[in-house]
Amino acid sequence: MKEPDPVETVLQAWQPKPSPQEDFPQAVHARIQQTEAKTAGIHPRFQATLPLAASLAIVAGIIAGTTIGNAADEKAMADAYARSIDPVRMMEMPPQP
Amino acid sequence: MNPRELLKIVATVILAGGAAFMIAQKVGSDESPADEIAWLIDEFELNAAQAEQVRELHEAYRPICDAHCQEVMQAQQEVEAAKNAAPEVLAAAQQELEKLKQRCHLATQAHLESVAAVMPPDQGKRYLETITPLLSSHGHSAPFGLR
Repeated sequence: MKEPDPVETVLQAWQPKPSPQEDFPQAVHARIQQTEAKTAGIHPRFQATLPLAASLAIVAGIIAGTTIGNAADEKAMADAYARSIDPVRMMEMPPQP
Repeated sequence: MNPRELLKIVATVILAGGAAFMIAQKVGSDESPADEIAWLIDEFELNAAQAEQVRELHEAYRPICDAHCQEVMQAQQEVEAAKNAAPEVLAAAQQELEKLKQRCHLATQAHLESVAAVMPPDQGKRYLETITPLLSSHGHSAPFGLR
């Protein structure tokens, strides 16, 4: 019977044991700090964007509501006036609100 | 900005904008003029004297308009009643109705022109352009007084 090759045995039993980098802890801390800095940047941005977006939406809503409401009122009043001076239209039922 | 924060902003924009829109519309409709003549005075920027003249014209025309309305209604009822009668009776009723409608249109046109004459020229023109398309006689021709 052939003797196993000692080199082969050593190679099979060998496991790599990476030696920690010298600056490993510093690198980890640096990465943590980077992440914290990123998150800290997002929050103030979000906190500033929310009221700004809400304010713009309110202003746009007021402008749109006033414009559309006025146009609808004007049309309704003009229509009511036309019905009040036109005998044929006077016989129509007024539009339901 | 993460998707959750973006969603919060979108939801806030929709809610705030929607609420502002509905409130503005409601407040605007609450401030509408009390009647058609008040609207007319406001819309066509009439001064006190013009407003008074327009009110007088409107009040003077109202009984004429009511009488025409009654006549047209009666003529329409006669057309309905004549639908089961002889064709010549129906035709006569329809002819009478058309004649009455024509008379109403002429009276309305005359009233419209007299109201427009009280207003400043540019407002009078705008008045005719605004009201004429809303009248029953309106086809696709030019507004009264602008032909």
